[in-house]
Amino acid sequence: MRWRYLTLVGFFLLSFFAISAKLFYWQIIEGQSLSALAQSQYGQVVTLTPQRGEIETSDSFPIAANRLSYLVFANPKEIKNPSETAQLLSPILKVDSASISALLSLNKFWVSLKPDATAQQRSDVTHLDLPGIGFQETYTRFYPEASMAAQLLGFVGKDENGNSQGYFGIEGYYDRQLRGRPGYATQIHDALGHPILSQINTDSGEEDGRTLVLTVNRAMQYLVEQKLKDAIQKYGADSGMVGVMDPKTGGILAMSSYPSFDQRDYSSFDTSLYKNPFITNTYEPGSTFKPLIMSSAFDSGLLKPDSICPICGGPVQVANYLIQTWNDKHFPNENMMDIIKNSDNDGMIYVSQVLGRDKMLSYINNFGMGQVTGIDLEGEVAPYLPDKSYWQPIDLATASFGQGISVTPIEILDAFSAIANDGVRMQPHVISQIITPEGQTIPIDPKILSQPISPEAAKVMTQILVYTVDKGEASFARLKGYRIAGKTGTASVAVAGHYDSSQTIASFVGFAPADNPKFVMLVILNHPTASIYGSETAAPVFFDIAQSLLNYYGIGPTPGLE
Amino acid sequence: MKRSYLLLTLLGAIVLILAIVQISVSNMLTTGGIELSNMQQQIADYERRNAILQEKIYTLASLTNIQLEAQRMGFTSQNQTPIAITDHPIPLAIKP
Repeated sequence: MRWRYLTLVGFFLLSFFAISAKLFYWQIIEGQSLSALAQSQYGQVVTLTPQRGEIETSDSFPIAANRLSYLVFANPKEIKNPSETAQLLSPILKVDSASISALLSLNKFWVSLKPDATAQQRSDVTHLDLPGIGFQETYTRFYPEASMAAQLLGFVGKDENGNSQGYFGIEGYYDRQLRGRPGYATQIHDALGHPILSQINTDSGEEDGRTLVLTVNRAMQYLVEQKLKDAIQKYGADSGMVGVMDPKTGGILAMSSYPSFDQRDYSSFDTSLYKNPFITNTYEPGSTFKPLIMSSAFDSGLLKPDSICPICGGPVQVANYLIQTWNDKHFPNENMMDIIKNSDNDGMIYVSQVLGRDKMLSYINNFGMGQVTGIDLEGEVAPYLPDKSYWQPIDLATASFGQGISVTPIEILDAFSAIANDGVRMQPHVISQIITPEGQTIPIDPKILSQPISPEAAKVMTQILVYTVDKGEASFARLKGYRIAGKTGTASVAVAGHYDSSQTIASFVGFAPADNPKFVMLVILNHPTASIYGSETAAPVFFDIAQSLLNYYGIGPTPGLE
Repeated sequence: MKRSYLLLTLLGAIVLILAIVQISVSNMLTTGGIELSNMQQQIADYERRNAILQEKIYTLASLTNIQLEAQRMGFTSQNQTPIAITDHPIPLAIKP
């Protein structure tokens, strides 16, 4: 009797143990994979790709938007005749027939045929009713103004995981704002595959990218690009660039350089063109640097506009170097106004000697030389400015007329804007506001970087720059009836350790109207061949663009003003 | 005997009613799913059409397109030398 009892208990214990072991196996060891298998049977996890934020110009026009496009893919296992299918797809997708045929002949379940097909192409392919061809909806960058402001915007490429990523310019700098956050949604369906209403997971966590509103004015950008392109052709220059900024806020109104690239087909351009030369190129500014040093001398109180230069009667000896003026003409007892008007190197040496090393370097620093401006674009560089202990008298002398010192165009534009803005230097920026997907607007406030000179010194310098435009080398190109402040620059280019006088960087920097500036603009032409001088190349371009900008602002010439 | 027969009938009826309720609720949910699917497809279709129309609007409103259209219509930029049409009282658009 007892053995029967023990057998029964043993049987139950063994059964219990076996069930427990199997449950352990299912719940603990295979739990995750079974759970995933079950989920795949009753539901599907879908990755929701966010739309990349748009980039709008100041008139709310999207200069970089999103286009609905389709990834065309195929399952080669379902395609019986690859070459015939390729023949049909090739003219629609505009992809070489042999390439499609090769892809369709692969021993794979999935191949990509075209990553960015249009809605029309999708419709045309659908009408062919081919087996094994599918589409995946996606959004790609679309540029309504074509390649406008390419180096300012940057482009959208792919990262190592195949996800969209912004590179260079605004796309690179604001990539985290623009890209948004992907979401994951689970769609539960019944045995027939129909989605079940009550089981939809709506909390996907997806968030579209934020929209960026630029300070850049679309009309000005368009105009500047056209004029720059024409000027490079007209003056036979290698390249060129133009920057236009609001001196009161630091907002960039237009920024263009040529040659450039096309964001839609960036991979077929040389990678060196991706960088924005206005913030990455360094050059010797030449005479456009003179107003910065002269205004420093006025601010320090060491010189006045009518101060006389006692060393301007002939070439000036500094250490072992004899320094000439640009045209070998000398003006004995010249005053400070005429030093700027005549762009006199010897006069500037006198100014640097009066200022002295410490004061001059302090002002150069306050004007932002040797530092990044912090503009919200990817890739800005700051040329090296040696410590003051390394500066010799000859270095100070040449720096006073803009040679032997490296700057970026954005540094010069920003420093000059301080003269236009009562001595206050603003931080250049291209974004005025960020708009979230919920419609909340986040304004980007203008930021003061420094005040290198007093408002009085800035006013005096402005008057001298107006005098320079009216009476100087570039007076033939000036706009009659307007008070415009500006300065030409012709910088020699250092080639193999010495300056090549036949190769120059011609530039003109100025602002208008002089008494209440709406814009400050820098025009640079690299190696112009029609003339090497800034007064004969960059200055006419400056005034041509300035005329259009003044028209845009509705500012007409003052009657009676010559 | 009669009481137990009644009880069994009642239980059977409850089982039957619950089965019918389950079938109808499941049916409603499935139908809802189909409707939802249709609605989602409609939304996607409208979004698709909007995106295509938006792209067209942006393209047409671009300065590049406006300039091309203006040129096609005969407008010319200010710095180009205009051609005077003497037999027309007000030459509005002149194509050089």
